Amino acid sequence: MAYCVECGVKLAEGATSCPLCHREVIASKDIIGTAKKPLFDEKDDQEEKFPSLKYDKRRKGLIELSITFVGVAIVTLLITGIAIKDSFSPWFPIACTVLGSLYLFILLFGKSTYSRIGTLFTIQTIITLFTIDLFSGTLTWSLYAMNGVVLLYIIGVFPFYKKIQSPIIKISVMSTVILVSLFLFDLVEGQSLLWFFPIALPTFLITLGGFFILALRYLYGKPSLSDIVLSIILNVSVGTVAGNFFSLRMLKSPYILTWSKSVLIVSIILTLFLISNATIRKVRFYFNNKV
Amino acid sequence: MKSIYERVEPIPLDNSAIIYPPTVARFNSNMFRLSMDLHIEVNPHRLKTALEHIVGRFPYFCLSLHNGFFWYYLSEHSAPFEVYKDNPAPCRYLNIKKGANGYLFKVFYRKNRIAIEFFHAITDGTGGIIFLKSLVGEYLRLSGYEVGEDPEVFLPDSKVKEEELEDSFNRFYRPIKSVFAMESSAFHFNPKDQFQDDIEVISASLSVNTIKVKAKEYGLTITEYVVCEILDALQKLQKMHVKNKNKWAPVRLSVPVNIRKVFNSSSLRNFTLFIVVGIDVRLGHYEFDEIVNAVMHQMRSSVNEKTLSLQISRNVAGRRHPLMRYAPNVVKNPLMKLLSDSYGDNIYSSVISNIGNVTLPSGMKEVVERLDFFLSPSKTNKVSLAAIGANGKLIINITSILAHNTDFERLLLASFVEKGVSVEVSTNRSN
Repeated sequence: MAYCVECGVKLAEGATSCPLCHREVIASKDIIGTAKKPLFDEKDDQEEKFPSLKYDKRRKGLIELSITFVGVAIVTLLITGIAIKDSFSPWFPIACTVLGSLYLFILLFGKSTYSRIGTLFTIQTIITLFTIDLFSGTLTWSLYAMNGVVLLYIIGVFPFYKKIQSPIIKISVMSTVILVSLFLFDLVEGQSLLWFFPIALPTFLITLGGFFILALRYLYGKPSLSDIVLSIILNVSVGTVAGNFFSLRMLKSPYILTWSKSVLIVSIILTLFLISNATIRKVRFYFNNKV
Repeated sequence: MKSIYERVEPIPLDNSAIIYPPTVARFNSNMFRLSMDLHIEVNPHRLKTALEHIVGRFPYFCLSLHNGFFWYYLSEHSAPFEVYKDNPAPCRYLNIKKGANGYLFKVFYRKNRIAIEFFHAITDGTGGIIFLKSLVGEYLRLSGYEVGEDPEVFLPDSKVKEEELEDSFNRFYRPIKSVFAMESSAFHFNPKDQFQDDIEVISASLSVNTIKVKAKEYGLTITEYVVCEILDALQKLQKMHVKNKNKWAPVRLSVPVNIRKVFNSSSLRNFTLFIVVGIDVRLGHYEFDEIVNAVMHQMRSSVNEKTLSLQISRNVAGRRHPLMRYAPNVVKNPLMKLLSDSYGDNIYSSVISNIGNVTLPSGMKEVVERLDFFLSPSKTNKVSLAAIGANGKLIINITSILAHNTDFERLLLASFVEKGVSVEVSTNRSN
């Protein structure tokens, strides 16, 4: 057991420095001794922590600032509305201010993950479009727009949801929503179904089939990145050609294809390239004894 | 377990406990810890059995805390009891819902240690030490030891006295008009250092006899002498860290006083008041003898029934004020925090709580090697002190949220050494 020459205190057995002045103990091991009963055990990471603050100071400041700006804008609009009530109604601009500011608040209050912010932005956009359209008295263009927003969400946000892991569920949901959206577009536009069954459905199924083949290749083979990109281009091209083909059938046209002939040529070349590429690779691997 | 409370309604917190739940923060856990180091190894299963046996004798501890609309309140709780492996740091934040199965105390074990950490809303140091002694007593009995009789060691089958459960503040409240005296802000140690989530401890062990002799030299009690040393260390610390004399502030200490003896109460709930003693260093440097005079005068004039009654009246009246009673908790919480800062943390520089000499009954005395008492510091007062005496040793545990700075601890303990009081230090600091 040693003493600190600086502070004069007796140090615990095994202490190699003074905890008060941090001065190192220069003494033999016999004097320093070995730690028999440390005051506490070694530190761990399993401590029960006080729940950390939800928002840091900077974010809190931004929230306060944004609320102030929105508050000032609303009050200004209200005063303007009262002052010139014959020529100006403040309610539409107030609604726009509130709805617009909500985009900012979603970013400031929400958890910063792509899928969460994407979902909240989608809901917010639908509410905004609905509200703006409602001010005109009847719902017209917002129904199309909402459908488009949902479609964008299902293609651009939904696949990135980490909670849903299964690709089968993701593809099934995406396909169903796309089909339902196309169905609704057709229904809303002409008040009855016109192009959904003869054009949209078969085109969609052909495109889906192409992506299904790509998914199988991805699951059971090892396609390179260029293979995947070219396959996606091929599927889109085939879908385009199919769209042109089925629209001409609905119109009872004597032509098989019109504007999509060049796209068809691209599709054929791409198909040939992909097949030859896969074949050459297989042959090469066979002769190189690669599995 | 037989319920002592023949009622279903919520149990209100003590008058001095209402401040604790709303002021819990990241660096202010409002916890205190009492522990006994034994000569024998602790068996956790036996400890759990001992806890289950003894806890029925302490019905006031079998409660959980809830955040009500108007007040925080307690309610009877019947979740199973657990004993936990000891933490590497004392007085960690306790989640009131999940931390200890909903209870407000947590029993820990280590190789040869039994420790209990209490959320301050449930009891104070006196209640805590009775519970610890009773738990260790029961553990030793289960281990085959014969533990002698002691008024502070309760037996599992003994009768629960009604007065143990009372909020004594209500009994001694007299409707006297008293106001909060506004004190100026005291010196707060703010070095450029990181704050630690884990509380850092420097533990000093001193001989009770030596310190008693030293205190007698100045005509003081041990607590008064320790208070003088702390004030002197704080005075030096301010000089060392605040170069601009115009920015100097008085150094004050908050000293919790167990007022059970003054008011003849045997409540196991919170029955403590704080007296604030200090020196105004803006008037000039205080020699140690001057500090002795100031402390002696301030402490002795504060600890008497009349002065303390005024404090009780002030605290209880505050709680009974209609504005406080009918304000929702959402409004009350920030107000409490404000009150706690303005009339609490801001007006003193640190806290020293001395449980005093703990007597142990025969059978326990031989097995217990050391007692410890720890108090959680706060963000304003980054260093707290807790003292406890047993087996001829006075243990002063200095808890801090500062990661590296130990200037205060060094000044204080070196001062003891300079005066001829030998100090042995140990720590959980790794830096």
